[in-house]
Amino acid sequence: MVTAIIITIALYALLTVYLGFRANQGSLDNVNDYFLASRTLSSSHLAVTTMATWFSTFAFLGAPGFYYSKGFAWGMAIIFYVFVGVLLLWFIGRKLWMVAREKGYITPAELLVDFYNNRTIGYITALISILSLIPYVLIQVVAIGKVIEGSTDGFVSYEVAVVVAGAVAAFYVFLGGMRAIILTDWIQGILFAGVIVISAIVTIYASGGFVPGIENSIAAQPDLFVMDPDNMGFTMSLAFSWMLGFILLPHLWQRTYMAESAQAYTKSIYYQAIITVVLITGISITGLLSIGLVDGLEDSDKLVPTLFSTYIPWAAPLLVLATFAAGMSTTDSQLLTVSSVFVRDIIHPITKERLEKHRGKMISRYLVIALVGFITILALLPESQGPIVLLASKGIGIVVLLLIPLIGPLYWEKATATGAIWGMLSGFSFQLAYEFNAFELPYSFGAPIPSLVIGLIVLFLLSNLSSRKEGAVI
Amino acid sequence: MIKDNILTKDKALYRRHTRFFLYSLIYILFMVISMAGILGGEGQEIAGIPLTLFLALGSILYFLFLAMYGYRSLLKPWAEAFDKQSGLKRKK
Repeated sequence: MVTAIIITIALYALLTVYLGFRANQGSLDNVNDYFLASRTLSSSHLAVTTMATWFSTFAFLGAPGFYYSKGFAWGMAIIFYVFVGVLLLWFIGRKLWMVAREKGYITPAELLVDFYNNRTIGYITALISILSLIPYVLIQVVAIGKVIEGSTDGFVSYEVAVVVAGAVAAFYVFLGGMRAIILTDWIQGILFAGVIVISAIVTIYASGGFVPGIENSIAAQPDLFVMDPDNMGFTMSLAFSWMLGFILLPHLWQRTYMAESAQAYTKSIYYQAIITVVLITGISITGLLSIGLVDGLEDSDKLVPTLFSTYIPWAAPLLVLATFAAGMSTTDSQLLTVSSVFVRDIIHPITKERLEKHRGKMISRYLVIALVGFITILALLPESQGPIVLLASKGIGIVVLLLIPLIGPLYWEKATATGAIWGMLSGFSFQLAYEFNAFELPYSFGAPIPSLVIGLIVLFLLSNLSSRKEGAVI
Repeated sequence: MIKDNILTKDKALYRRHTRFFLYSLIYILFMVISMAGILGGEGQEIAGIPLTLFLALGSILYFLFLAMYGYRSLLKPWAEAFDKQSGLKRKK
């Protein structure tokens, strides 16, 4: 089995490298093509790349496990954040696509700098983008390393797995940029969607049918089928921050820029709605039926591997491959986005040098290599497998703060740079204070949503006390 | 500020957009009430089946309705009007 897993991963890695070469042949020599595939994505390409990027390893390893360990408190949160996230593609994403197409934006910060005519907002947005994405990439790489080491019984060590995964991602992103990512996202998306569907079928089959399975689960753990008002803060914090993350995480925000036409954009929303219904139904069935099927599992992340090893052990290589693919499909997009943020929001404004053509693409490519090197070194540190990862996962909450400056270009033309900057800084300070235990929130609420509310209040108050700078482009 | 000229000029489409927004808001409220434990709490059952199961099923079905209704009545006609106005065409 170990040999089969290693061969499967090796073949998959070779295939992604080949797709990187293919994408490189069809690419143009400019940053617009390297970061956004020249904004030529069809509805199906856009739907698949967004879904593959959004659903990381957490979707099929963590999500059913959360159902299993926390019941409906978690179930309603995942249903909420995924479905309402898709609705935001119309209410917010549509406007982002329209303006990016007209003005040629590549990063989130460029839009905000143009609206407020203020460079500081660009730097803060770039900083938030980097702070939210680098820990996220680290989590994916660490997960890949652990899964491969565990599934090969240590034959492939954690260190080797991390280095190989980083090298493969760096190679195809270096060569083909967004075009390579889209090609690999098709394979990666089909793989992990397949595992989610297979897991659901296996649990139904092993439970003797859907209805008997649900009856067994209710009998085994009736408390998991009841909403608990004392934990509503946990559920709502998770639901609202991840719902906003669906559009505000910079690598997903950038995807709203890529559609070739309005018809491609809206049809991709429709496809994403259908895909999410299938995936959420699969995740829910797996998690709920497993409550009555799998007894006393302490680490809920091991639920799906346990189902595979118990009922379809011959499919273990598929599970490992899907984990590898899901991690890669999120990592590659995030690497490319961080590279675009460095080039467009930091290097370009500081050097005042136009980096549109060959030079911009070359710098972006080498930045991807440097970022992979940095992430790999971080992942190899012993601390990365412990508390840092826990801290990193909390760092993702930072990204909700991007909604504060975005209110201006979307809905409120009176919003000023002073209001937006202090709104983001006050929200960030609140999150920092919470993380360092300066205070606690009732009903197990997390910091992201209260920090967003504080930031929006500051935006409103200071915008009414200050005036807008002349020369705004949008 | 980013203005959507299609919705501004086409009153019928704007009404559909408002209706879609209201339907989405109802969905969000329904989910928040569920997450707060007001629905699906201790002892809330229908024919011995926990209410949470019906809430989850209802939320999936309502979302499907939103997606189909929204796409047919609003997203598709808006996109056709936008592409026609801006000269963009979808590649077949």
